[in-house]
Amino acid sequence: MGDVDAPRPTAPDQPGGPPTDVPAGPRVVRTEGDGVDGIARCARCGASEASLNIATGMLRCGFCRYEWRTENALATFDLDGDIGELTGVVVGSGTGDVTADPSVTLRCAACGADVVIDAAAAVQARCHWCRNTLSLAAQVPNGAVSDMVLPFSVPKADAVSLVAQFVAKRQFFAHPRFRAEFSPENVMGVYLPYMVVDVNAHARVTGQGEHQTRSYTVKVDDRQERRYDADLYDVVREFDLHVDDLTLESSQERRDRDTSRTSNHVINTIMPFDVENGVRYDPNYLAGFTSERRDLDLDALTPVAHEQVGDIARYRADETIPFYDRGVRWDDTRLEIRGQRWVSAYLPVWLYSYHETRSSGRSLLHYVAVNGRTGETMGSVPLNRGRLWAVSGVVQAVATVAAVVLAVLL
Amino acid sequence: MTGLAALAADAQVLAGSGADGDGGAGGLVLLLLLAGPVFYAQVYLRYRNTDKRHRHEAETRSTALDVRSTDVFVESRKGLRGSRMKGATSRRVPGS
Repeated sequence: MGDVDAPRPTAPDQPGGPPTDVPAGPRVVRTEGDGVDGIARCARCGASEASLNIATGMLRCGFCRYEWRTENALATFDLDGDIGELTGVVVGSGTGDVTADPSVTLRCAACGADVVIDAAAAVQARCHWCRNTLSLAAQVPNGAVSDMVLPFSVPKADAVSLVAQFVAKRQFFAHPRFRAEFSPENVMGVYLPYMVVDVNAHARVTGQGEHQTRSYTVKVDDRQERRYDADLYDVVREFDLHVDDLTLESSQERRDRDTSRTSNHVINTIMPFDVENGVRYDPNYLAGFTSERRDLDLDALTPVAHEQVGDIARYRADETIPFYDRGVRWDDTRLEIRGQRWVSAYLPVWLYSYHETRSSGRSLLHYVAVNGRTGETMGSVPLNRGRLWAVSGVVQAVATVAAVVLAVLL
Repeated sequence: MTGLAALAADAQVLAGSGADGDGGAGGLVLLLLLAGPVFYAQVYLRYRNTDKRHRHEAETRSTALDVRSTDVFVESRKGLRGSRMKGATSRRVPGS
């Protein structure tokens, strides 16, 4: 797979609008605007408390109820242009390498107190002296401030209902302690970190395919066996490939898919999100929710993105091979990456978690996750293994008797 | 837990072969002899969903333009036993 290296973003050089060319590295589009850490005030009354009104998708002041929304992120920063015109590497300034400590100390503009925000789990904190809400808005390199955020549109009540329905269909073999402790109202809204990638590539997929020409039976000993004749072809498919909004988890922990120790596959399954509706980052969208900061850089995610673009190329190539009814063995996928565009995003997930501790001492964190935009639900429910073994044993015993009877009758 | 997913898939293939007459009875007997593990695998996957993932290759918007196809005949093969090409990888997704 031929790749283009994605050099690290250096310093922001373009405040929104079309980026300027920087020959040595990626073109960086500044997305933080005039974002300054501290108190983000309501434009009408000056209060420091605003949060998302899920019903309207707008921010609402906690005091005067004034509502407003931030601009569509991709359109504002010209990050949604024609993928076919995309060349080189274009990145939002919120994709910079994570080098700084997640803890940030802010000085409260109202009373002068120093307040620490742990960006690993939140982008806001309340001043313990004057009770104003302080927010992170500046893109310091700790992965806490993204280029855009996709606000929740599924209300908590709906998420609770979806989680309850999902678990209700999986009761009989569920672990008894899980059933006793299950309380779907404990579902939490979490903004998880992702990278959204557009890729302009040229793909060349090569392999061999077989087309069946005849099917017939032959006599082998006393049995009839089926045989096939087929023609073998060398197959090449070459095309331009435009990939729009490929979405990758950008947290090391969430990329761990070992199902023996995590249930992250559940969170992966509820994708995709309608990231084209993401809005410019404003910390007030995250008020009342928790958030995980990004801790993976472009260097780590670029090979993953290109591998997935290769998968998409083969998937597209598969659509052109109906003639090969016996299948195709793809031997090689070559990609020439002409352009790629990276944007960091917070995407909304309702998460119900349950920590299972087994008698062996091993533990596993189970999730039931609901896509905060589409309502797609997936989960992992801890099993009552004893009951499952016992019922499987009974099934095996009955089936064995049936198999013996069948064999005798035949 | 791909082994369980494979077991469940194999069971579906066996069940399918049991329905089409030729060698069907043998397939059905084999399926019955594997009923316990297959049942375990099906329930495990229904509760833990370890075989589920985001199908990025299909669910990501993408467009293939200016498709050029080359198909060159190599040889004819006679008397093949399998109904599918040996080693076929179409619809297999390594990046998942």
